[in-house]
Order: sequence, then C-alpha cells, then structure tokens
Amino acid sequence: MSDRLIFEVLDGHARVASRTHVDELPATIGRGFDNSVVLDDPYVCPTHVRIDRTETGELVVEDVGSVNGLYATGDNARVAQLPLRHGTRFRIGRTVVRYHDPREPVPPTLVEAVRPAAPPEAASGRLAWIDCAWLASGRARAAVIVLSFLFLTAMDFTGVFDRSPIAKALTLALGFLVLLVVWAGIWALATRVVSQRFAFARHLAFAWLIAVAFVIWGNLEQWMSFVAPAGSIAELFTVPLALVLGVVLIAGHLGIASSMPRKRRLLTSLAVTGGVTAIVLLFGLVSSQEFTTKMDYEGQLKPMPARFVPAESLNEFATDARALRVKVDKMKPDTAGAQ
Amino acid sequence: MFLRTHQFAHVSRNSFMRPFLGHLAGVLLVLTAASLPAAAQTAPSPTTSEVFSRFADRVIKIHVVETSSSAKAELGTGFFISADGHVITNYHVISKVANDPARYRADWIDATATAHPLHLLAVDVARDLAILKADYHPAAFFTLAPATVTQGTRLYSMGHPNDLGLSIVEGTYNGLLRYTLYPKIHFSGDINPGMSGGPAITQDGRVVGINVATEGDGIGFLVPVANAVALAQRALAPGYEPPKSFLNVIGSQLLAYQDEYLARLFTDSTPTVTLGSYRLPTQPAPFFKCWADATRHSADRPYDFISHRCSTDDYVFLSPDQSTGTVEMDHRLYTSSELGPVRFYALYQARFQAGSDDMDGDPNDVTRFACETRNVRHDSTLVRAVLCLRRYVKFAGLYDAVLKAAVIGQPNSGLFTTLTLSGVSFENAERLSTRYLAQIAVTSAAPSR
Repeated sequence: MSDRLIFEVLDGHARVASRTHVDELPATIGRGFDNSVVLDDPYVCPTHVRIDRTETGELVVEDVGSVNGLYATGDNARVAQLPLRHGTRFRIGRTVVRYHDPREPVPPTLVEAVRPAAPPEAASGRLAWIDCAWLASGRARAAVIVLSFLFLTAMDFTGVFDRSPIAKALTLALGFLVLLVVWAGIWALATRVVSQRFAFARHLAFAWLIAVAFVIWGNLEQWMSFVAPAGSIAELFTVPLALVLGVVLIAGHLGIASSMPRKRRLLTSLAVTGGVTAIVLLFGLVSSQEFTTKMDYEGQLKPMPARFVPAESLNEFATDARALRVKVDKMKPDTAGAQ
Repeated sequence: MFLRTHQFAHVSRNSFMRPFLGHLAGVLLVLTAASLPAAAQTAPSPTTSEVFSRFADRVIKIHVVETSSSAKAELGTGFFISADGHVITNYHVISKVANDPARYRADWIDATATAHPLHLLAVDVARDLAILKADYHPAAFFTLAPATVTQGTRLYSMGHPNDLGLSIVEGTYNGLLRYTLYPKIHFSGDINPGMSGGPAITQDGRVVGINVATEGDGIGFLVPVANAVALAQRALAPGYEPPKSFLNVIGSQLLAYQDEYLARLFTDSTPTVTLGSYRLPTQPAPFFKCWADATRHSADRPYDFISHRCSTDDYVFLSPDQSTGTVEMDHRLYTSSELGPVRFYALYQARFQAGSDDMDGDPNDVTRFACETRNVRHDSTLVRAVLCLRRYVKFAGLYDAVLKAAVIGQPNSGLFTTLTLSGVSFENAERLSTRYLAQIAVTSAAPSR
C-alpha cells in the first residue's frame, strides 16, 4: 500500500524542528537507523512505534512494546495505539511528533507589516486611522517627533514662572523625551522578537502623538473647569477619554509590532487599558476612604477678560452654599461621606 | 495642662489650628520645673506666708482619672466656693470628664493625699470655667463676688504647679487685656502648668480671677471673677440639676458664643485695606490682630508678593484634640510686570491651588471637607470662589468653613484671599461668606507696562 505522509518533530515551542516524508506503510519511528523516522532521543526505543492503516483505512500509530510508551499529547495518558488525523500529536520518549496530511492546504502567505507601506486591511474600515500607516514614511516620523517635542516645550514654557523659563521648559520636555524613548525602546525590543525588526522610530513617533493628545486634553479640561466650575463637563469625560487614548496607544503599538488583526489588537488593548483603569479607580476608591483634613477644590485660574467668564450672583452662590451644607450634613464621620 | 492654652494661641498665629503640641508643652513643663527651686530660694515676705497659711485649706488639687486604668490623665487646681463643697476650676482641666464621662472621672486630693470624688455640675466653655461638687463640707471657702482692683495691686495666685505641692506666687494685677472678645486679666507673675483653676486673691482673701493660661516670662492670664460669679449663681441656685449630657450644653454654648462674636463682622463699617488695585476688608473687630509682609521680585523671582493677615487671639478649648472659635483672613497679592498673562496665571493658579495651611482635625471631631467652586460676579468684580465646609461630629449645627476667593481678569496682577471660620453655624458661614465676597473690589485697572 503506497501513501505519502509527513511527520514533523516539534521543539519545545511547538515549532517544527525537522520534517520527514514517509512514502511506504507500515512505517516505524525509533532510535534505530532502519526506521522510517529516526529520532536522537535517548528515551526512545530502537523501534518505538509503528504506523499503519487498519482494515477500515484509518491511519493508526501503535506502541510496539517500547520501554517508555506512547502518549497522546494533551491528556498525558499512556495509550497502546492512537488514530492519526491531520495535526494529531503524540509523544514518545521526550519527543513530540505531529502528523501532517500532505493533502491539507497550506495557509495563505502573511503580508509583511512595513512593505508595502499600507497593509491591505489598513486601507479600509472605519478604524483604519489607528494603524497610522502614514508613519511608515521616515520624514513623517521625524516631523512628528520634532513638532511634538517643540509643542511640549512650548506648553511647559507657559507653565513655569521662574527666571530661566526656557531652560526649565527644555529640562521638563527632555525628561519627558527620555521617558518616551524608554517606552518606545521596550516596544521596539518586543517588535524585534516578534517581527525581526525594531521599528523604534515608528514607536517613538506614535507615542509622541498620543502624548500630545493627552497634553491638549489636559489643558482643555482645565479651561472647561475654569469657565464652568459647577458640574464641569470635563469631569464626565476624563475617564472615558483616558481610556480611549490608552486603547489607541496600545493598539497602535501592537499594530507596529505585529501582524495581529486589527480587531484582536483593539480587544487586547481594551483589556489591558480597562485593567489598568480599574486598578487606578480601585486605588482611588480605597484611598478616598481615609480621613483627611485636605480641601479638594477646582482652583483653575486662567488669563481671560472678566466679562467673558460666565459667573453667578452672590445670591446664587449662597444657594449653592446651602446645597453644600445638605451634602456635608449627610456625610458620615470617619469616611469619605455619602455621595 | 495649664500652659497649653495661651501657648497654643501663640503658636496658632502663624499656623492656624495646629493640634496640641505635646512635645512643646513637655519642654515647657521641664523648663518650669527647673526654674522652680530658684523661685523658692527668694525669701517670701511675711505677708505672703500669712496669706498662704490663711487660705491654703480652701485650695485643692484636682485629678482627672481614666477609670479603666485608674491612672491620672490631667492635673489641675480648684477651690471651694461654698460650705456645701462646691468647687470652681477651669473647663480645660476637666474637659475629658465633660466629653467622655464613661471613661473619665474627677477626684480631689486632700491634705493626706486621699482622693475623693467630684461631680461635674456646670460648665462655661467659652470662658473656660467649670463648677463641681465634693461630698464634703469645707471649714472655710472663698466667697465669689465681683472685685474691682486697680492696676498694680498685689495678687497671690495659688495652685499645684507640676504636681509639686500647693504653692503661692506673688504677682500684680495689670488690668484687662484689650484685644479679646471676653475679658481676661493680665497677671504679672509666674503661674505654671498645674495651677489652672486656682484662685488669684488679694491679701485679704478676695478672689479677683481664676488662673487660666500663661505666655511664659511672667506673663499670666486670669479669668475675671465676674464670669465665675455668673456661672456660680446658676449652678448653686436651689433646685439646679446638672445636665445629662454636657456635650449638648457645650454645643449650645458654642452656638451662642459664635453668634455673639460673629454678629458684627464684615458689615459696611468694617475697615478696608487697599492692596495693589484691590480693596479688601481688614480688622473686622478690635479683637483681631493684623499684620502684613511683602516679598519683592528678585534674581530668582520675577514677581512681587504681599500678604496681609488678620486673626483672632481668642479661641475656645474643647478638648485636647480640638479647639475652635477662631476667625482668620489672609490676603495674598501677586503682581508681575515680566511674566506676561499666560505665565502669570500659571503662577497665580499654582499659588491658589496650594492655598494656605490646612486646618487640623481629628476624625472623631470633624468630617472631611466638601468644597464647591463657582465664578461669582458682584458689581464689576469677578472672583473664583471656593467654599469648603465640614461638620462637627459631636456638636450639631457647628461647622468649620473656609472661603477662598481669587479675583480674575487682571493680566499681570492677582489677589486671592482666604477666610477661615471655625466652629460657626451654617447661617453665619453663609452670611459672612457672602458679605466678605461683597467687600472685595477692584479699584482700578492694574497698570500695564
């Protein structure tokens, strides 16, 4: 009976270490050189197992009285024989062997992440912007990094009020740059492991983009609090926006690092960001239970002509004070209070 | 015990409402103890020894005892004011008994060092007085009656300094303090911790005041006897029953006290001070003390800073963890001709958010603060106003309120002010906050260079 079978010897990471074609049945696997598949494993017998077809045509691997036996991988149970289908694995000695049916089609060729510049799936779909395909251009990356750095330096400059503001702002921005370089470096190393390239500049440029988004949001939030301190809309958006930016950050880095499908990337980053947010919120909840004499208030002051700032009258302020009193009267001692 | 009060007031000038500085009191106790032998070496005049021998048996030592351990928690002095065994002392000596009668009791110690029980009858927390009763009929006692003496009159203060045994200290009457809501006598003499609640008498045995506090260096303070007369009239009246809970009594006394001293603050007649281009209230009442300071721009500071603060010297001792009844206002002006509006407001915001010193507090006494922020316009002045409020746990209707207000709209100058009210009713907090805000005004546009 003639057949063409493929047996793959797997390494510890379940990757194929060697592949043997078997053209004739019955075939044998063992340490002896007369076997169809020869293994170097000292725990394997000279002739360990035999492969043949049963009367019904089913392909079966069978222990031929070996010392260490035949195991179906997964359930770790010693068996006398095991039916073989495409992909079936079995263990003899310390070697894992996988049966490969040559009639099975091979999976499609993976598309390289960098070239062509836009991976096919990035060209379409509503969330295509997350992939930031345009960062593939070296000029675009350099421009993003330089402009973001200048932007952050300028923002820092407006926030310092000592005698040498430029030096201080540069120091702050450089400190942040170091932080981002470390962050991008970690991603680049991960990318090297997965895709055999670093893509450091791309990670760095992408991280800067997200950082700039955070800074802009932080300033916007302050201005919103300044203009409308009562029931600030900004407060409502803080957590969701941080979550969204976090998801985009992780999903983007994953996209640069691997060829993971976009949907899986988004789900993964959602899980990571959600977990981190939950821990942060939980931490805040726990610490808010501790008694404190601190006063926590919205102290934003912005340079804006007084006539443009919405304001209330003294009477309305007194009304709000009475609402505050009701809140304080409901507070239980020793805790954060009833909200 | 006795030093605490004024020592505390002294400290609180610069750092509002610090908790009791146990270590500081301790240091001072050691100092006083060391200085005592020197005082003892000066030969007493015959009159002093006569006064001592005539009146010593009317003055007693008071211990506040923690009942479960029977250990002494506080030590003070008191004296008999009736043949039925009524005793007067300071509220702060027996505050633990009033606050927590299940855990503390008061004893008086006789000449043979035997302890006898004392029952708390009445307190006047704002004037720091308490009346107790012993199951004992003293052979002699002081009669409380309003006393008028002239400045320079020789007085004899008696008490148990540092538990060293009954002592007598000579000193002089130096009139009433000018800047207090409730009158206090300035006594020039070395009264020391442990003498709290003891009498200060003339040589013929008339009580002029009750020892209450010291600032050290021979500056002592007495509660005028007239206050004690008023309390004794109530507590010694026939049919008087002591209250079941002193906390309720203290609470209503505090409410009455704050109503009295806050009534006249921040009215139209309150004087104002002009800082830069802003006009603000100052010196709201004679019992406030104000002081100011300024820091010019310098090599490392591109802005000018002026501060102007006023606060009361008076406060009410409630328990070793809590004092109340103080009012403080703190104006801070920042100006800069160099920073430009954006960077100036970064400075202004940072200073406003950092605020002033936090108020202290114990979770058993107060809740957390809750704050509300609003932009408020009055006339043409726009301020960002923050009101923070916390409730007293043991005394219903009393709050600590902190109002912060920052004037907005000037490109290169900013002023913010903090009004701190401790132990006030909400009605007073609301009324004073709005009155205070109404008195903040921009007088002219800041000069732009």
